[in-house]
Amino acid sequence: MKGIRRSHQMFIQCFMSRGFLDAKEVKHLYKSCCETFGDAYLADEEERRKLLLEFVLTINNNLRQFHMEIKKGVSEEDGSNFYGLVNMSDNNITRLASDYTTNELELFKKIVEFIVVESATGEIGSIEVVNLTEKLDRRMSKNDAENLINRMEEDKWIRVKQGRISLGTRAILELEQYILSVYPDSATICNLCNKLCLKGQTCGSCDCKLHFHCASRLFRGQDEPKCPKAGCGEIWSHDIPNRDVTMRSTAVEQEDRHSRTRKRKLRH
Amino acid sequence: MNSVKSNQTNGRDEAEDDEVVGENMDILQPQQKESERRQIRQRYRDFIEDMQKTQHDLINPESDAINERLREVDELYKPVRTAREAALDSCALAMIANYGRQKAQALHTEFVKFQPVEFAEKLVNLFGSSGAGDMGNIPFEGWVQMGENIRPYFNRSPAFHFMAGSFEKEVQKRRPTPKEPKDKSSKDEKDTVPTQLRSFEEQQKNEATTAEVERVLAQLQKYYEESEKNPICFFEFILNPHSFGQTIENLFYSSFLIRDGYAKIFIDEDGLPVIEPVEKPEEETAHEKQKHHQTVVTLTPQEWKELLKVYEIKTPMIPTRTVEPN
Amino acid sequence: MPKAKPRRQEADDDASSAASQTSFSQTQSNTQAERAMAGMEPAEQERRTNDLVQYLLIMDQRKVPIKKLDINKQVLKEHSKAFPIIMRSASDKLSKVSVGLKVIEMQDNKQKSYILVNEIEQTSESQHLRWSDEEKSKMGLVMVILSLVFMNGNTMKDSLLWHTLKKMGVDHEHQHEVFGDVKKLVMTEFVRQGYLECIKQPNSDPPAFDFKWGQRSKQETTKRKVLQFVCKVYEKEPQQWTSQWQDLLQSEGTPNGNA
Repeated sequence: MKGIRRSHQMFIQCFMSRGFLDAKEVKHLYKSCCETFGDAYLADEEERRKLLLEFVLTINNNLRQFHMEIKKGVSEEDGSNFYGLVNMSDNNITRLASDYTTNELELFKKIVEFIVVESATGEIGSIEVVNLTEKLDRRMSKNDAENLINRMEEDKWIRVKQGRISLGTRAILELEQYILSVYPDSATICNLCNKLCLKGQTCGSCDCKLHFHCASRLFRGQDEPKCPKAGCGEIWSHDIPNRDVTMRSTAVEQEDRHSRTRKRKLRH
Repeated sequence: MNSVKSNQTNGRDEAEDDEVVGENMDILQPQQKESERRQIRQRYRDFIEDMQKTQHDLINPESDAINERLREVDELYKPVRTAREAALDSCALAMIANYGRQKAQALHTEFVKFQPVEFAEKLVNLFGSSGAGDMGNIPFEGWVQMGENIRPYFNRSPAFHFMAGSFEKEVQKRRPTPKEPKDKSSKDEKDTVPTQLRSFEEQQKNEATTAEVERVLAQLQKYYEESEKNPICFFEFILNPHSFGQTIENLFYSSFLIRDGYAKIFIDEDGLPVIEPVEKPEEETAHEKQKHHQTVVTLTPQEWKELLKVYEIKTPMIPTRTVEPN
Repeated sequence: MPKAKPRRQEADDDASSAASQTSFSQTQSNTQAERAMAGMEPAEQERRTNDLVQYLLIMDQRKVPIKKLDINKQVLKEHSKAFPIIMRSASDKLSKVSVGLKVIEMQDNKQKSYILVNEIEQTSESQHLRWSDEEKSKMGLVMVILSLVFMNGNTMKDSLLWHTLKKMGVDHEHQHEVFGDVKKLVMTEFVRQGYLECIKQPNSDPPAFDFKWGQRSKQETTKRKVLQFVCKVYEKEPQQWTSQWQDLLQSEGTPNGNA
């Protein structure tokens, strides 16, 4: 196992203090870690990418003994990549985390439950969140609940858009296993990527669900998209987002994904 | 030399032969013993040596040592009678004067003295706004900006933040997944949802329901039979003239009956909602269920009062529950 | 690994396999700890050490010194006697194997406690760490107080501190829009975290206090850095503050930077 250098440590520390970085930020961070501590930073992009992978692998190999790992998460909004330093253990020590109070975590659990079990769109309204506070054993004022939502949004655990709250990519990355094991009947798996799918499109006749970006990847260039589930084949009655590549993510990230898809196709 | 000697020293002429200089000092004084004078000279020599050793303290602007030395040398001079000791005294004084000059030079460079209030005012100028009078203020943004500026001054450790593992895991009992979003007016369902909903659905296939829902269904079936299988006016069925809360609960329980196919609501010829039990709900397939129409029902206390007036309801069709469900 | 080995031999094996522990065992005079270590399987030693690393990282969220008592209660439990050795190897791992933090033992005669400090020296170009807005505003206030105390001759009376803070709109007698209960924040939170020391003057009635730098401040920053900050505010050179400049030179001459 390769040892850890200062450049690795700077990289880890950045993940500790920021929690969650997108692909562009990771590349930028890698560059400044190399420059600060005199590590080789290759000019060739492909070579550099390999070195970055190896860099992260070294970190993960060293951190695994402490149940920590840098993992990749995919945004349910647009399929872009994010990276987070996650905790892989669940024990009496991890319970001592103090960023949120027990009562706040209880509310968060209820929010997760609502999103996974009750909601078909992977969202919950802020009024419903306030109503959920009434189910808590210990009182929480409306004001405190709103402050909590703000803090959780700042910490990237949730995403708030026009009063609708959904789980942030960071939360899905960390809580995917939790959600799948606690709500085995409600949690849906994306038919294409086999990962938890909270937001996405559902087949009109069977229970097949696809992430927006997975649907757009699967149906790209198809005139009459059909449900991919074996034995179904029903017409896919949703608008396919992003079929001609626009939407939310930046042009650069889109380009990234394009070339990756192309490569994958070539390999097959 | 002898000519200037006073009469008073006459008797000791022979003893003073080695003393050539400075005898004139003693004109008005009695003769000092040599041992005493030697002692004085020794004190001066020690004093001068000590000053050389501690010269850094003496020239330190913060220190008062040099004044102390001046006082000491004044004391030393008191017993001095002859020129020889006086010469040592002037030597010591010259040293003190020299150190004093150095100290003054050092003092000259310390032209900034720290004033806490001045510092505060400068911070307010940089990060905040000066208010009326002497009450400056630094707003939230100013403190945040200051914090961002001073971050590199602290080797503060970043902490590890995570969500997974920070709370207890409660594995849910298996139950069928409701596919549709259930956008009910949420306040109405507040206390009952978790327990009632779960146990009801769980045992749905055995046609067992929780006590309350079962009771509401029994009432509905009873009135349905009594009315010779005519649909019941929905409002008459659920309204409780004595309790708004119980009305909402009735609404809530009936919504279970509807959703799970034990009853159905529709609009009659008069355009009013009616409810009637469904004979064999278990025969409905999941596919048929999906055709169910979803609606959000709201009922405010104001509307409740109006409905009571319109329908002239005096007694509830569903008897008032004596024990409130938790 | 064969479990039936005699214990003594097992401990020897472990000592030769883990270099850091060997060197540590040599300097460790606490034979009780060595005996406790010898009574643990190597895998168990490793597990407890890693648990302790995780524990220290999680407890550092609060920025309150971590008590030895709690470490024993939460992590080491029946192996508490091995504390000195496991603590040493966990510190080693925190510094070299994982995140580059060092463990500092607080000088407190009541009970042993520890803080974590960043080993990666921060410079004005360091942009990789992020503070939350709350962290930023509170640390801003900490810096202001540390500056006042240092510039005032390493101590400041509470009355003068409150008087000065008031000029910035931070009034210890009123709720502050950013800091809430200022008095509590300064006298309780900052003191508990180790940023400040607050010493009651003997025989003072009503009680009067002297503020000094706390141990965490001495570890996380230096007099030189604080003077640099003051100089930025004043647009002056550090040497112009003659006595403070002498003070910091003196403190840098002594090993711990303590005046």
